[in-house]
Amino acid sequence: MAQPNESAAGRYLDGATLDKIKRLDVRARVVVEGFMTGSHRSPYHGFAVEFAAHREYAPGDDLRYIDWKVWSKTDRLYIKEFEEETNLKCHLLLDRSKSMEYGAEKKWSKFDHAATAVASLAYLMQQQQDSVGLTLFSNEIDKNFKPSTHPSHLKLLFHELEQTRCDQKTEVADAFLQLANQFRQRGMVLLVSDLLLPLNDLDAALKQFRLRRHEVIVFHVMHSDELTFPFDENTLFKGLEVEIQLLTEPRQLKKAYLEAMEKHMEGVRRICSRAGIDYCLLDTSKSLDATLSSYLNFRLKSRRRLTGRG
Amino acid sequence: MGFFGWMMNPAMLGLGALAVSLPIIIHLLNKRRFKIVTWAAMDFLLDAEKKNRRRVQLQHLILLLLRCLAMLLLGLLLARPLLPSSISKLLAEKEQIERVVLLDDSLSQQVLVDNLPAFQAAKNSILKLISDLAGNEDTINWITVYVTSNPDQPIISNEPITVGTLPNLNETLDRLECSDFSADYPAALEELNRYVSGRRENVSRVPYIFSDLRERDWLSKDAAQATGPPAKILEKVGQNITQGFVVDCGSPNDQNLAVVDIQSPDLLVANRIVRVAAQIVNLGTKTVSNFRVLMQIGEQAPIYETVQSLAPGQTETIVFRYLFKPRESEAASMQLAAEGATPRQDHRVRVEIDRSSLGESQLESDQLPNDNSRFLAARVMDNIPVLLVDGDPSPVSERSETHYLKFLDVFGTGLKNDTITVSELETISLANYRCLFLCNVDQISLDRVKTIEQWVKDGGSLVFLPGNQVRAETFNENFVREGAGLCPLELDAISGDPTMSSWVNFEVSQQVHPSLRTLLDSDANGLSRVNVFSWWTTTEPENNTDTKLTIPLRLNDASNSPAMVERSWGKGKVVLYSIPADGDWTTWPGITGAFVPVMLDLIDYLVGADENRSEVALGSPIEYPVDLSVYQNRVSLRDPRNDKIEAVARPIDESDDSKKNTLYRVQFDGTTRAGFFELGLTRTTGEQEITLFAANTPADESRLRRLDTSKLENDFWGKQFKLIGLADLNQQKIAGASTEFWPQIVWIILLILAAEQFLGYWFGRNQ
Repeated sequence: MAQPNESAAGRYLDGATLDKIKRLDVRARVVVEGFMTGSHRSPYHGFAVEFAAHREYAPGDDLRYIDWKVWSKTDRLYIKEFEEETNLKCHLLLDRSKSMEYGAEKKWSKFDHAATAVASLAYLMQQQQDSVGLTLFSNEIDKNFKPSTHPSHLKLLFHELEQTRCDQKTEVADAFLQLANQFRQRGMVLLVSDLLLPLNDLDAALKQFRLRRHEVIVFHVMHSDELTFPFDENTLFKGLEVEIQLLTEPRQLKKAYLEAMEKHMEGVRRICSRAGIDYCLLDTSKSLDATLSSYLNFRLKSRRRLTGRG
Repeated sequence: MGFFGWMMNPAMLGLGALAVSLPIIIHLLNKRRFKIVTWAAMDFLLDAEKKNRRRVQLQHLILLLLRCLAMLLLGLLLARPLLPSSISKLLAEKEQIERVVLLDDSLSQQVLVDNLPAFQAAKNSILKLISDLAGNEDTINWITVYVTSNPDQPIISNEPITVGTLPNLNETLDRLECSDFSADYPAALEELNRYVSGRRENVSRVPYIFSDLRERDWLSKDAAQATGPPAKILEKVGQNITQGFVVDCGSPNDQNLAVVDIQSPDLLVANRIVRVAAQIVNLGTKTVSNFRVLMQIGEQAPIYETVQSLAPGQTETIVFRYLFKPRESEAASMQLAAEGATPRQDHRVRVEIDRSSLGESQLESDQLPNDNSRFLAARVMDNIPVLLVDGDPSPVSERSETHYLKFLDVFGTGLKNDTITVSELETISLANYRCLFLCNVDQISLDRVKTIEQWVKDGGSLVFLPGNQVRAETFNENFVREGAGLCPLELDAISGDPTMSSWVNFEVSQQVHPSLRTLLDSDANGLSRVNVFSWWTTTEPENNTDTKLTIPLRLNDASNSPAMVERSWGKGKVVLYSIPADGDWTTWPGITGAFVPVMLDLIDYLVGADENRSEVALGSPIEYPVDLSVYQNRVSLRDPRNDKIEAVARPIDESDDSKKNTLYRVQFDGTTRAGFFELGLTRTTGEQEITLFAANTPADESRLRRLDTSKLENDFWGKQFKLIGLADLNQQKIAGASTEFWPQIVWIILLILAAEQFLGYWFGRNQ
């Protein structure tokens, strides 16, 4: 895993990570409308430059797209169709609740990992001319940056990521409803969180986005300690979000804990798959670029599968 | 046996109890030591903890209890607990208890305690112990009995004590008798140690040492040299057993009178008054007065001597005088003499302290009656046969050469003289005689000289008394032969004053010869009054290096000529006087009266005591030569209890095949009783001949001085041994039955530790 640097861009975007991602296209599974030309395919054929196909004129079609050369040769009216590149509005939702702070003692907290991932994604999307927005939330919406393609916007986002400190509890029910209402235009919602919240709340919150036909991807940030529970000695566990202490012998609890954790994660995965949401586990011990690459690869493959084109 | 009596180190159990707190303390300390982790996924953790809490607590409790139990058992192990027989019987294997009895059967155990010998009292208490212990067929009680006089061989060897075996055991023990030996405690205890250290499964051995606690037995410096003091050996024994007892079967009164020695300083000859000296010692702390000591010869009436007073620790020598009568049958004596054996008769001489003369008040000064008598086998010669050869015989006795010697043979001297001429010497059998006097003889045949030489070599004694008939040259040719002959010195010439107007005197050498001792003791000038007018001068060797040659008497002439020369020759002795036996040259035989005592003593000295000693040390074998040309080879021995055993004589040198050698030897093994032993030889003609031996109790046994138990160190007997009295014996039996069971505890501890390890691993694996 790359270690964070001093500058804002440097801290979250290490060269190796972004170099790998750049070679892959970030493509949305669902082509959304956009007014700017991008590399995303659009289902709306319009005034683009790239020819796609001919079809017979039907009443109501725009006369501008009639191919007069074909008419002159065949005396038939054909419409010339083009593939249109659209703009994608990306909403990055980053959890800044207290639980994301775990791992700070080991220099690489969950939040560090998540913020790096968010920065990488934002930078990538900026390169693609997609507009990127950022929302930081805990038990409410703390910060909300509207999507923009402006280069200075990215700087602003980076700065904000740099400044943010973790606080409060994860409480998504109300916040996400509010957000969903704000995101009028269909786009992409990327939720980056450790998802330590009741599964019902998560389900409800995610449904808000899916109802508005947003493409949702869940990045589940987990610290490797939380996944493997590698403690041996007697340990006093102090709750990050709740004021509870527990002195126990971790070895005795390991099995039961891992079972509970697995059950939770299974629940998350089930909610995601049922709602048609992509789920990706970000393990802090795994390298970030590997995780992102594998996800983007997966996205590409699944789009091809859906559209049947390469 | 208090509350903690069932353990050998109760303190260790306390330590174990304290050690129980160790696992608890470690557990608590462990709880205090922890890492702090701030944790995000608290819900899952709480969930897991809630599910596991009871199970984990239970596991902790189990492990903690196992550890505490292990510590407690460790303490118990170190405390070396003893299991009473009632419980150990319930255990899987039945534990045997073997009582190993070491019984002191030395002479001093005959001491009377309340009119019962201590040995008998000890035996009775053993009988009582086993009759109390006797059970059914599968009894746990076994018994082994050793005695100190014979520690190599147990009297009873590991027998079960049951109702069935009890009569047999009783009979065996009843038959046991006190020996006349002293107790060899180091040897007996070493044997006991060897026995108890040979561990047998499920047998716990409880030694009982029945001792009368004599100081000489337990604190003797001599015994300690090879093996260490007996108490140290006992300590060694203690390392192999859990419990043992020293049972005091003696009595606190240790006063004693004893006859510790008996002997005769004289040559024992019939028809002569001989002395028998006995030493009486008072080993008590009070003076004993006015008691009698008796001497009894055979079955005759005893002779009494009175001891006026005998102070504590004092020894008194009592001398009895007695005249042994010669044998009545002259014929038997003659026959013996004809065969070359010294005719003699053996008498049983016994000296005893007369206990009845002590009186009631002084009886307690003599606790041990068995050492009040001692035995002497007196082998009394019928007479001393002496052969006088007269070189200058005369029908008138006064003028014969042997006149003075002849008259030694009077009643009271025990001598039997035969006088012969030189020519008769050629044919007479020398075997009949013990002494040969050649008076004024210079020539005999060479064959006869050889015979005499052989006779002297076999033990005869020869005396030369040369006079004026002797020719130096002939004498030297016959008897000196340049040193190869019998006579120690060559005769030179007759010196002195034949006119008897001047004389010389005797000069006694520093070392007084035995033949002169009695005379000089009674009259220091007895010899210096003798005037010697003429004498034979002799050629004395320049440097007298011959240790066999001594010159006890010289003359005070100019050259200091030897007057008497003695040399030993084989088993016999040769004496040369430079003067004759008559009064021709000296005033010695005729006038001074010094001649007779010197000659009598000379004969006694030359004959000497019998080389076969009549005294045998107790426990050592009796050996006696048997000449098969005279006797049969079957020899019998009658011991002091009139029991008769027989043995067959064997060749002295087994490798010597020559059938001609008829001198055999018979041997009877260890003499076990004090008293007289009669060795019976049977002549080839069928007649019985008795040789008497005497064995006496060890004088050391008479010292009854007891250990002062109050002054002994605490651990004198070692930790495991307890000193008890006879009366307490039966109360000890339950304690004696306890057994240790530490191997079982070790197994339990190992099991617990293994279980703890396994559970710890299993609990950890199943989280």
